[in-house]
Amino acid sequence: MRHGWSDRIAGLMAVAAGGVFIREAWKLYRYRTDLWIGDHVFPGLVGIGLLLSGAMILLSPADSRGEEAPGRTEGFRRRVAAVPAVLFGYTLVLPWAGYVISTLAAALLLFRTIGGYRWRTCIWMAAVAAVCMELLFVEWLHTPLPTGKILELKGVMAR
Amino acid sequence: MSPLAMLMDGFGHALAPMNLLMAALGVLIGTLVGILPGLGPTSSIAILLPVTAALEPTQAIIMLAGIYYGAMYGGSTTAILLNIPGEVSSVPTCLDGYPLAQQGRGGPALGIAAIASFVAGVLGVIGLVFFAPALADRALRFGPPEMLAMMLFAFTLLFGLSGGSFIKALMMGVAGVGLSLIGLAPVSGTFRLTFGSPKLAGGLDMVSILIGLFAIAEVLKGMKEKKTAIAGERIGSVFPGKRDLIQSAPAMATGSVVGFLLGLLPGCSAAITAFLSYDFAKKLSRKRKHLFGKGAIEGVAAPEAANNATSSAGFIPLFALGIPASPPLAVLLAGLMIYGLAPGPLLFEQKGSFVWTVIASMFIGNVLLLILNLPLVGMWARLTRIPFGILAPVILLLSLIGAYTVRNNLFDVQVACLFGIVGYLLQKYHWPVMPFILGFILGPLLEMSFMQTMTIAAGDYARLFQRPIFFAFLALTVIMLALSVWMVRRTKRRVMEEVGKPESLVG
Repeated sequence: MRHGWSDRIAGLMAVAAGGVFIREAWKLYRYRTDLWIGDHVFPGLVGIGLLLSGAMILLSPADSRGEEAPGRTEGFRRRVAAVPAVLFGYTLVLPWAGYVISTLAAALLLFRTIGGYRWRTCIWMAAVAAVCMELLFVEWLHTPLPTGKILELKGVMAR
Repeated sequence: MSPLAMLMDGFGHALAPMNLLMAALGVLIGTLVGILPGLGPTSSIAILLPVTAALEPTQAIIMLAGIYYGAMYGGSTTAILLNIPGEVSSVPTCLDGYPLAQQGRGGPALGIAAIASFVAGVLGVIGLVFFAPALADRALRFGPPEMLAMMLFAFTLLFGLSGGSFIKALMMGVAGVGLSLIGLAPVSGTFRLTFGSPKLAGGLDMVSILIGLFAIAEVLKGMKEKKTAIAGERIGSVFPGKRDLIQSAPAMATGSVVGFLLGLLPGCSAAITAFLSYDFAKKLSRKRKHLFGKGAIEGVAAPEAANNATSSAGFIPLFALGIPASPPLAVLLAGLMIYGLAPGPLLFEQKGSFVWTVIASMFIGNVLLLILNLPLVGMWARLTRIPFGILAPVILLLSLIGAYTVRNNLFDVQVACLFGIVGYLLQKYHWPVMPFILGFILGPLLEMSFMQTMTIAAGDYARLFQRPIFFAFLALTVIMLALSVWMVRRTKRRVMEEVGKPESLVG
């Protein structure tokens, strides 16, 4: 059996990334002090390293032990995919809705997605989690977390 | 001043009430997080790293060291009570620890684990006191070519930490170096690999990457493994009897020595020494050999002692040379760097008071671990029953906000999310993460040493081989590579025998 598709994809990605690094090395080559001294050297070496290792992975013999075992349900895959989606969504909503609202919403969705609890249970657990985070980061660590453009705008309008 | 006098001075600082409090808090928080199913010491430190940001550097590092020790101990608790090894190095602890827990002797097993960890930890720190300053003193005489050769030597870790596939390890290491190049170029001052994006101008933040690769990826992996609490109801007294202590003493001693000596070698992970010590203890214990795998107390003592001794030995290359020998130490190195403390030969010279305070606090941390954890074992056991569905969202939120707090930058949070997905995929498809981290950490130092070496050589590269230390490091690199190949193969065979399936030797 040939080696897994995951290794093939990684090999191809390494070859492509190698190309990007070599291109960057070529761009920086004009600032060189010497062939082996300058900002181009390491991007060049990294590029060659990625190209070679990527090619070796593509040409190496079979190893499919990393392949996913069958039996995972579609629902499970959707749940695993939903978590990064919630996290990325959190980073997009945070500057607009502010820390409190977005943390509450993210916690709610995460408890629901990962734990599969009822919505009502999720709401109070999310509230407790958001309050604990507030106490830890804002009260104790004095971290300036985003208040949110919506709230800032509301404040300006109220004035 | 002699190392002992400096250590005493360090004790003077470490015993200050605030530092003592931080050590105690670190040990407790570390144990608390380390005990949570599926979270090993690496992810525990990665999650808690930003939480220490509010403290002054010495207190923060003391707390981090406490978290490290606590998380290591927490890992053995889940191994004994739940049969869940947080890391591969805890697999041998499961072999006898879990059967003991099933026999209602989880308490003594936890007690022996704590005592073995304490003995090995203290021995390891004593070694650190004597070895690290001497090594740092030697390293002070290194020029750029020697530093370059030393870093190449450190890269032989790649094989030891790769779990076997050298090409994959090489690719990951190179990728780590590559990502570390993003940002301002050191020679010309132009932006490199930023593709015109101002967000990349400052480079990628190490903590965000660590949080992504270890904390977020660990949660995603946990969802796959459906981690559930299965702790036994009765664990018995945590204070081992006289018989348990007598039976465990030789295993503790050999585990400590094997763990410490092999831990000094780059590429020799705690997994390797834990398995070696377990097998060694089994061979030594002729009369009780048949009990191994069914609940021999020595089977808990040996790997736990080796595990901790290796971890302590890892502090020697970390403090003296700036080279992390294991994933948790790589995260700890990131912590030191956040506070502007660059480990390496100059650390003892320039921040002597700081280093000795931290070393002294390690002694105190080990004592606190024993004092605080033994009476609290029952509580820790109950904590293992917290459902993953509650823990995971809290860990994720803590990780995201933690990533934000380092530079108050949302881009770092997105980087953490991205590396969370990358880390999950890497673990799923058996790609080693540690070479990537090592490459990312050592990349800028490697580039600087390389440039300086090339400038010194001025085209005459043969001249470099006339430098004895340079040559010695290159020779050592080849020897270590061969040794690593043998040890990794052996450990993989043993993991296969015990677990029944191939496992990566690092987290």
